[in-house]
Amino acid sequence: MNRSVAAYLVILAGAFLWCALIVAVPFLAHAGGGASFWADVLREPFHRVCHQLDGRSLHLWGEPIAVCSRCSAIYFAFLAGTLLYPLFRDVRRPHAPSRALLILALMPMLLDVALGLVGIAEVTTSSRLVTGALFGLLIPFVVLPVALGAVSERHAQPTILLHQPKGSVDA
Amino acid sequence: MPEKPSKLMPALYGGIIIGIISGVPFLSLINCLCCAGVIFGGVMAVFFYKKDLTPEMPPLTNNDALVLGALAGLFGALFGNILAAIFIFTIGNVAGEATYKILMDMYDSMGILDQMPPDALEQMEQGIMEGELSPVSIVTSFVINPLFGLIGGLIGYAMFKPKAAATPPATPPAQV
Repeated sequence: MNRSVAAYLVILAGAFLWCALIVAVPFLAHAGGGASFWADVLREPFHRVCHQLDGRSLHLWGEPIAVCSRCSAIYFAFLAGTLLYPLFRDVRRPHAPSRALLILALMPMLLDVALGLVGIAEVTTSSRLVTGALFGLLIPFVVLPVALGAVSERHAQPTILLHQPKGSVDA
Repeated sequence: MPEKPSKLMPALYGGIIIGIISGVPFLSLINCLCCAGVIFGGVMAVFFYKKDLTPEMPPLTNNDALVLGALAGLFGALFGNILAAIFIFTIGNVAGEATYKILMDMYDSMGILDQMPPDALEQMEQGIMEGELSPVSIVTSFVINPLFGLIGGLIGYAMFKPKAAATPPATPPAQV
């Protein structure tokens, strides 16, 4: 298997696992008993990447999921973007990432946060979900080519062409 | 062709940025948006490395960005935990106290504070007051920070990538 394809599958599996853990937390908390201990253990690492405020989180089975609504939108859209990536780009031949796409991905979310902070517009769950999802959906098209390029770069062997005159014998 | 500069110093600078953002009370709230502070540190590590590269050196590669971001995240976890410990032992968990107070005020204004079970409130207070220095939190920082730093490095490459090399002129077929 091509190394870029293998790297893509590893990233896809990682994104899937990350999203599965986010959903596993409310499921385990809902199950109760010993499972809620594991829900607390799993929730802790996500505390480093998200405020986990109950009022700003989506709920499943009556329990808040491991990250807030904006973060959930980013991570699940990242998984969707990673899944869709091979439909638009060749995984085996990573292309140069686009700066314009990075700006396009970031701007709506930054605007949403900034307008909310200065009080011009109200930040709602919908705006968090939409801008987060847009960012998450587009960002694989920026980071995946770099990551896949790095893998193929690391394993690329320099092609050395040795011209040996006919009849010469290796030492 | 001169060799590329060491990645250690740019990664260290990126790590210091991550450490300050993660360790200083209230500033660490930046990381609540998908580790934005850690991602920023990874981007900055690539920026500092790019600054060290002269035109005679080989250009910045995807691989450089990947390594720089991950290393910056690793250094960031180290500095962040040290800084958080210094702040907690000198001035206490001020950010935790403020967060808990904001949360309680919010629940009170929503009228749900009285309905919340005391056990849940106690657990929430304990979780917030333990702050950044619980063993699980320290261990996870050494996993999460390099991961998000690496993503920062990848974004940094997209931002500071070298301009595409000019296409070499087509060479005429070799005469035999």
